[in-house]
Amino acid sequence: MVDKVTTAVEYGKVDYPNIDSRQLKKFMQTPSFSQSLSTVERGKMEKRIDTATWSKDERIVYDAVIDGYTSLDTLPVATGLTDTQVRKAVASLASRGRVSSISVTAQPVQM
Amino acid sequence: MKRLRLVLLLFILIALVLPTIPVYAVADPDSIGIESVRVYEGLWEAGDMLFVVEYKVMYSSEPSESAENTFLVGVWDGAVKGPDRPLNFYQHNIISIYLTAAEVGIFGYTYGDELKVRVMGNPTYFPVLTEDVNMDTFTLAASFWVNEGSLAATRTFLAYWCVALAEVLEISWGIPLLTTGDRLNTAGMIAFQDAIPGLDSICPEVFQVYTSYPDYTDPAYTPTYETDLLGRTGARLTGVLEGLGQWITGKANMGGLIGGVGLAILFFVLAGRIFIATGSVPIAIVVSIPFLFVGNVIGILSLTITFIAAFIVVVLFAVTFILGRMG
Repeated sequence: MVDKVTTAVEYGKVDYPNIDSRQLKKFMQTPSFSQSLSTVERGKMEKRIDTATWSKDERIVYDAVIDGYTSLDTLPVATGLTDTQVRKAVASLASRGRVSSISVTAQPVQM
Repeated sequence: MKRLRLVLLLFILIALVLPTIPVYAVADPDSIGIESVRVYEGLWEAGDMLFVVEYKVMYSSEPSESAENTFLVGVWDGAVKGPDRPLNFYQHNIISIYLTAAEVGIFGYTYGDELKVRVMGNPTYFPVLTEDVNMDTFTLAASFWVNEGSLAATRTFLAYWCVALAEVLEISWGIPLLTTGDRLNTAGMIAFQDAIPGLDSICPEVFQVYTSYPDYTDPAYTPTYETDLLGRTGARLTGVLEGLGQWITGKANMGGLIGGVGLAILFFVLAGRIFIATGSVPIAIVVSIPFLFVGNVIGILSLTITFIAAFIVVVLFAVTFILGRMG
């Protein structure tokens, strides 16, 4: 059984929330800046840019799917969201091409 | 009934003819606020003004429209709207509004005015603007104005403020903006030049690398003795030389040139005579050089020319006499 409280807090976490993703993208396009980043930092920044316009629910569901919760039955338990919220988020992510709504398989974030 | 139909038809026709006004919609930010404002007077020119605004337009899900389209920062004098500028970015950031001295005059702003600085949604996207929802207003107090009396001193205070803002932003963003020596790094440079265009021209010291020019001042000297000597030409000699110059060249004020050329001819005649007598070129030149001083004394030759000629003779002497014997 998944601990709902812990996962709901962890999923959907946004790194670098106080900077506009467009500004971050501008920084990343500068070689001297992007080359100074570690792989982890670069990954977090790219995720921030990629998911900036996503809703909180979408982020939570996406992270849970990445984490292996690929069943619509387990996602509400893992994320702490209601069934409706999960389905809505999955549908939205599917329309973005980030998950398949049938098999609920996460697509990797474009780096 | 017939009348009602006619009115209805008229309404439909009007509705079809009227141009449609596009209404865009963007969600209100999670929070909005102005964190700080500083106004600098006298940076590029005396009397200009730069409003530096630190703001927060926080979105957990950023709108797909750029902040340049959806939000702006502006200055109000009471209810009178002044200059404005689109925001570059959402979230926690800085922006500035610059007014030249002429523009300051047009808006009628004076140092220390209780102006209002406002970050607000673009009315195209936000039909209803509500304070603390999609708009925030900051009233300037006297302590937010900076004018240190000179452009250089005010620029120094702006540089300090930029470093302070960079420290705040790097904590907020989680991204280093300053180097260990408190200079803006690459990210800092991009952020601050976006916010304050031309900052590198007035506060180059906050950047890691900046262009500079060698400090060079043209040496000023007053050739009083030379001027005194040139003034010794008598009225009669001046008249003769000017008349001769007018006759030869057809132009006025050629007396100095004619005098110089005449003196040069006499110099070479004298040098030729000495060369014939001694058979030595160096002796002929060295002995003839003092003759140029005669030209200086009577005011028809500039002392500068004499010294240049003497310098050339010394160099020639060194080359022919000394180096010739070293071989």
